[in-house]
Amino acid sequence: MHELSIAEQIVSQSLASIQSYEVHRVLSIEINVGILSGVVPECLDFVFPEACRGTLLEGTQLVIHGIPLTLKCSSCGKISQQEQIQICCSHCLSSRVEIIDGKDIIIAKMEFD
Amino acid sequence: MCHDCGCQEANKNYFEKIPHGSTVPQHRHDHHHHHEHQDHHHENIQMHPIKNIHLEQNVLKKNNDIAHLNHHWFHDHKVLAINMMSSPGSGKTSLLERTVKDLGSVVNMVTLVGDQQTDHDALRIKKQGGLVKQITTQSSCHLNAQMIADELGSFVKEDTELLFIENVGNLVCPSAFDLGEQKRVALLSVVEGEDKPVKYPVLFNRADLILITKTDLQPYIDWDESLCFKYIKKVNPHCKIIRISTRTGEGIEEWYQFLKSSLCV
Repeated sequence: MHELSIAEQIVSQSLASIQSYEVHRVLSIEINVGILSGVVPECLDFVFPEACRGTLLEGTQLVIHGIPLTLKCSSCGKISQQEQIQICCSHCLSSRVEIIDGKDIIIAKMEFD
Repeated sequence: MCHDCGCQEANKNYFEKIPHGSTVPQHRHDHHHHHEHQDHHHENIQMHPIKNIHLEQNVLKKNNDIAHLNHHWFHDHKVLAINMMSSPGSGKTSLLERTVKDLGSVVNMVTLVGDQQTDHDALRIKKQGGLVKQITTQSSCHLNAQMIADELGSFVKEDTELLFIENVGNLVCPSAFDLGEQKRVALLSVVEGEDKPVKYPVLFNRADLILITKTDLQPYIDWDESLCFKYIKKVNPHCKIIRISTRTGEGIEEWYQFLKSSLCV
């Protein structure tokens, strides 16, 4: 369950990001989770309230966007996307591809009042 | 299943949900829930103007930054760091015992061993003459870059040529945490089944070398190697694969060749 460590990072980075604002409530945090990030969205969702406990983020909605793999093919030069971890170009089926997205966990947006 | 009202939502896009810390279902359902107006607390929402900020911050930035520094330390001191990852019991410690015994007098090597509890693995490697330190992670299921950084320049001396990092036995969590290593080695024993690379694709995708271990057990089990290799190719098409057994010695020389050719010169 490394998702708890991830959730704690989300909490601390989010709190640091709003330090310079006058914040009453944080309504939502949107994160992008790449399918090759090693994070299971269901687990992250489950532990997030625990990581928020006792902070300004208690009650904040976590919105998780799943990010597919984006691959750039060295054989045909095209960009393709894979919803599952399958390292091959969906146009020409070549395995000579570079992963250009889908590996990271990104805090994209926060909404507060 | 919806966390809030318990309804079944077939084919629902998981990523669209879920408000936390609320007893009121706030997300959109295909069927109709009727909520009383006062459930929604509109009076609070209108008290302060809502602000949106866009961040694009990597959640693993802190770990990645430390890993980056570790990587520089390894590079500057010509240390080859290898992160060994697999499920528990796939033969990481056995392989390190054998490696320490065979190469310990030729290559200046040290080992960091991660486990939640006990120093059993460290004692096994020490018994073979290896310089080893156990990191007990307690409740954590993986090693992180800070745990490695803490050992650089102290336990891991500047003149080290080869650092083995035996990660916590786990096919899921260690793969998310970069330690700054130059090489990642994934082990898969034949008794675990051919489909582990596609069941746990992140770890196998990130490997520079995959070792198929305990090949001496192959005659006693149903192991479809071509199927396993097909699955590996799906998640990591150009990865080097070595079949290895510490009992029969199969693949051991090829493993040593991999280590020697990867050493920093």
